[in-house]
Amino acid sequence: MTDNTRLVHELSRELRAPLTVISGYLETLYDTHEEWQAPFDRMIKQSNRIDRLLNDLVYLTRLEEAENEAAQVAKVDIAAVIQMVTDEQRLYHPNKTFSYASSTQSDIQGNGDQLYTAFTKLLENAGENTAPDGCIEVLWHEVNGTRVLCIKDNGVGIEPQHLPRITDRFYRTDLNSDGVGLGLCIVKSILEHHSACLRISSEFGKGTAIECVFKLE
Amino acid sequence: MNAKKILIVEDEIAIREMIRTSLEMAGFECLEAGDAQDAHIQLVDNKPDLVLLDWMLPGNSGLELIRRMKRDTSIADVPVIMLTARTDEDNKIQGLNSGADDYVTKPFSVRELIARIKALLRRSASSSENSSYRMQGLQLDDKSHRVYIDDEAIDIGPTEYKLLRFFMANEDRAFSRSQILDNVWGGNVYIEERTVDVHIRRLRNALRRAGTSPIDYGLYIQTVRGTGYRFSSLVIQK
Repeated sequence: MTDNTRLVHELSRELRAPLTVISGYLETLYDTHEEWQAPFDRMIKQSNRIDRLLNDLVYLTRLEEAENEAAQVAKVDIAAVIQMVTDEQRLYHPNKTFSYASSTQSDIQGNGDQLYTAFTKLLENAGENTAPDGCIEVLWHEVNGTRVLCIKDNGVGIEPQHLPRITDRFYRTDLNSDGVGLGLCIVKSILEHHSACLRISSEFGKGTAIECVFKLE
Repeated sequence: MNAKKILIVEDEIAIREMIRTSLEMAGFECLEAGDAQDAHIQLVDNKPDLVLLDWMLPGNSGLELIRRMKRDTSIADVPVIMLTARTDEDNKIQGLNSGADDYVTKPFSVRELIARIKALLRRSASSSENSSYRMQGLQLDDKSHRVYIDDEAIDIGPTEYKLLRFFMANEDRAFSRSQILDNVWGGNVYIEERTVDVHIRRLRNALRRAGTSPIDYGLYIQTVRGTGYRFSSLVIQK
């Protein structure tokens, strides 16, 4: 473990104890003080955000660490992973349309849990950034000698000035969102582990297409 | 009605007091212990109905406490919920395999903790010989081998039936894929763990497509990231 990773892990462990105390009392206060519910609710949400930030940060340092080690690699049925992630997101957004099609061979050498995490983050983003009746198309197919997972939505899109920095650590396009700015950074890191790359194209107001491009084995 | 007694085993006083305050507000009676030895004394002397156990007690003593409990028939059946730090994925599995009944990760929601405590107390009070399970409009009848949603029988495969039966008998408890394999498929078969995912998907589909119910029972089969699955009617927290 590098010093950096150790610091992140220790820091997150040390912060979780006080966070547990703070959020625990806040919930009890929320339940017992009706006139203060709105502010308590905001405080609870912010402490949840610190928790998510710590989780993502620990996960990210772990990934970076794994780069130097032999990561756990096995045969992964990637179409099945995508199917599962799509099904799960459908449950969270029952009014949105998620379509899924797979048209290429689906086994790759990789880490199934990491891929599950990456695809979940991408589909969560797509689900959150579309209108209540939005459409998300998921496609696993072959393009010019590569295999590509394409996730296309008809959501709010990303303004062009954000695109070059969107996978940077702690970069957030919307400062008022609940995000912590590490999601795409994690996705990118996971794809790099699989010798794959991330391509993002977006038209503001119309939607976003995200592609994970894998080499043919 | 007698208040249920909960033993809180946690070495950090601030966390222990917070839990105590929340649980007392919810009508529980609380006992406290700062280490495993004190916890064992309280278990024997005060017979709590449930134990909340911090996994990070010094020197792996949380795990030892559970092992010691399991050897002592007078306290072996007291249900245990572990409090873990989220960074300890492996410990979670280890903990569930060693005899803890459920776990929550710090920082946890006290509402969720209370719901888990209640579910676990309900479960340990009801006999395990139940032949029918019900959760809201979802009903499983072991005599006819049928599953009903709002009193209408649904189509469900035999493996999915067994899987649902297992989940409904163990509401609100998280299981690893290998625990699900052992319990639903039987311990001595060699099946890839990912097989569980396939049947989970079919089960969710069977529950979702069924009837005109306003509730999507597929939602109740929840993925516990890095661990496995859980059946719960509690609101999903991302």
